[in-house]
Amino acid sequence: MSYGYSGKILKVNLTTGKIGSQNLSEENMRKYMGGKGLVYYYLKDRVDKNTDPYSEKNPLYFMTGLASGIPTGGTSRMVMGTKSPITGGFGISESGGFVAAELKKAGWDGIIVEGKSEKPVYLLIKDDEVEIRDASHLWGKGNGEVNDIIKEENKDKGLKLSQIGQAGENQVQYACVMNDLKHACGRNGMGAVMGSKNLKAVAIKGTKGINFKDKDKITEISKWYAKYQKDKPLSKGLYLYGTAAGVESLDKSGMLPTRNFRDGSFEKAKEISGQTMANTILTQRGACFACPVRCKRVVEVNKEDIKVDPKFGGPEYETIGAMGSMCGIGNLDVIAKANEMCNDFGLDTISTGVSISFAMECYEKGIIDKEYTGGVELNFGNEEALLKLIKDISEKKGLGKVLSQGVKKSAEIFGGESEVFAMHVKGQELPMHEPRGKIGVGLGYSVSPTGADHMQAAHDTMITEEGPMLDSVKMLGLKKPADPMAYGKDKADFYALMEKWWGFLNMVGMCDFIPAPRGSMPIDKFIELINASTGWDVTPEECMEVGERGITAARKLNYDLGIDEVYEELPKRLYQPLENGGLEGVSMDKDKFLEMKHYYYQHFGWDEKGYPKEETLDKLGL
Amino acid sequence: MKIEISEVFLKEKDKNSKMSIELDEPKKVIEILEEMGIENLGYANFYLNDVKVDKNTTVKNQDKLIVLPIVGGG
Repeated sequence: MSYGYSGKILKVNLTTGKIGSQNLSEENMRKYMGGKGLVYYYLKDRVDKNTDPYSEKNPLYFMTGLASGIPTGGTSRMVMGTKSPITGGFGISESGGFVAAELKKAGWDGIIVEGKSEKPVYLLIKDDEVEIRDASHLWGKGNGEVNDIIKEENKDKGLKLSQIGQAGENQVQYACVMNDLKHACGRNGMGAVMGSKNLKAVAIKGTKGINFKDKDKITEISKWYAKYQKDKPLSKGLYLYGTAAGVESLDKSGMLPTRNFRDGSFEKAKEISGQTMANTILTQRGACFACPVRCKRVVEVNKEDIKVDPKFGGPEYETIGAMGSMCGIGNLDVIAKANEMCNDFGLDTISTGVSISFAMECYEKGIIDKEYTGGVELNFGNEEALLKLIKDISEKKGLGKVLSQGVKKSAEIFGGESEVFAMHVKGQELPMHEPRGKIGVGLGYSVSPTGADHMQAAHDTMITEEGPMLDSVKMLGLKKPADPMAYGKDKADFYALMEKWWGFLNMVGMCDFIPAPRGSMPIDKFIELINASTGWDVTPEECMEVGERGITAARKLNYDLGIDEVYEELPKRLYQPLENGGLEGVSMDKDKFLEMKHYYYQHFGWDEKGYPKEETLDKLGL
Repeated sequence: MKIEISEVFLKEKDKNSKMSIELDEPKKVIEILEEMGIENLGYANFYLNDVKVDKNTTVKNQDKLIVLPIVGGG
């Protein structure tokens, strides 16, 4: 008997309509721990270089992890996976919310979706009862309306939903999958692949519960953590101000991505901060499954000229950066509206905001003109243009059709010098973190298997001196703080260690904001929780090895798919100086950066081209 | 000198985050804040006159000190 997971994966073929299940062995669960690891395990034999991400041959995965569903907080994560239409490689995207816990309560560790339906459908899962239902009446509708209809027609307001909006239906490259309207599997084009399968939604009801080895211990830790985290700064900051707690800090440090990463400081940073949100449009502090931290925002705007529905939650930091400072917009009402629209249409707010910001710079530089923009003055700060373009992107209309392909392809179309400031890696737009002030984050953007991604490792601005932050991760082998501006072997080792830990969290299904170093839960307490759930004897060393396995596995698969070190180039703009703020005049040093990247390869036992050596693959059982 | 401290570092009862104090002589950031009873400073960033500084930077009466939570992704 397994504890903490069911050992069962639901398998649905949309071409044939066949529904079945397959077993997941304890050996594989221990080796991969779930999430990102299981995506690799199932994907590696299913796709090759020639697989079209939008073809029926490309599977789509919804995976939970060992931690998902433990009622403690942070245990909400679901990882989606596929061959990404953005990068052409190993694609994953994580989300919080309630779907993962509900799926596990229904008795499933994950879902494998294969094939492609001839007509729009949705999947209804009620424990062991699984149906493919017609969704013709839902096609063309936004996530908000569809959420209401599915709950109404099934007479169950408690259903948890993963769904796509019009952007996914239209296969906008960076369409996302929304979970319960507020939580996004935003990156790597999961919504576009789901749309290509004509799968509008997955609706889940779980009543079976999860079989834990030591329920009393889990209850004890859960009660302890709920109380313990309350006055801890890392949790309190998230509770009070959400993920946007750091807007002012970043701005004062010269690291708030502004006007397409041209600037590092935004004159209206205070107006779009988490603090301002808390004092103005915030109506509620929301939470993911069982989480006492409550970092999610719920906002409402009810003005004559702009209304924002609270059912779509509120903007995260990434959205505030991408739609706000990046587009030169200092109006929180407008940013909240942009967030609502993206959540309804099913668009990744990062890629959407960066694409629009890119177009604004192209317009200001005269690379595109009004003929391209449909007569719109597309300057930074144009609020109306931002909202119009979000709609046009979701409908692939006008300039929106070009931008729906992301900045890499848009730059190829626009030409001129636009390629220099097309802010992407492997085709995926940069998140809202400035590598010129966090060299480790730049390394992460470059080497991440999924393209530019800020959630691969703890950032180098977090552990800059001796003290409680460093103490919290010493058991993982990190002995020295990092200088955010440093390159070299120490920085490569710092990044690699932190990447293994966060890589493990992305496999086990745990939010990075709960365990140390980003969160307030001590690492040993979190591992105790995993062991109480499974009855295993997991150690910090095993966690790091699992994380390492996930990183090397994803790299191996990417190289096998043709996505090698050639695709690790950073945007040229990062080697140019920032034009304002606390880091004005600062740029990255390319030679030092490339040298550091090779130290990073060495850390993991990869060759000079970044491919895992034979002995490394053997060591990790790959 | 003027001090602005994020609510993250304040206890419920003393929520006034903006204040002015008189320094008899220049002091280090950490000394000023510890004398005020502010805890958990290992999780803070310090900005003196809008420039990021470390906890051992000397502060004078005409300065403005801002204490904000550490940032690191999210």
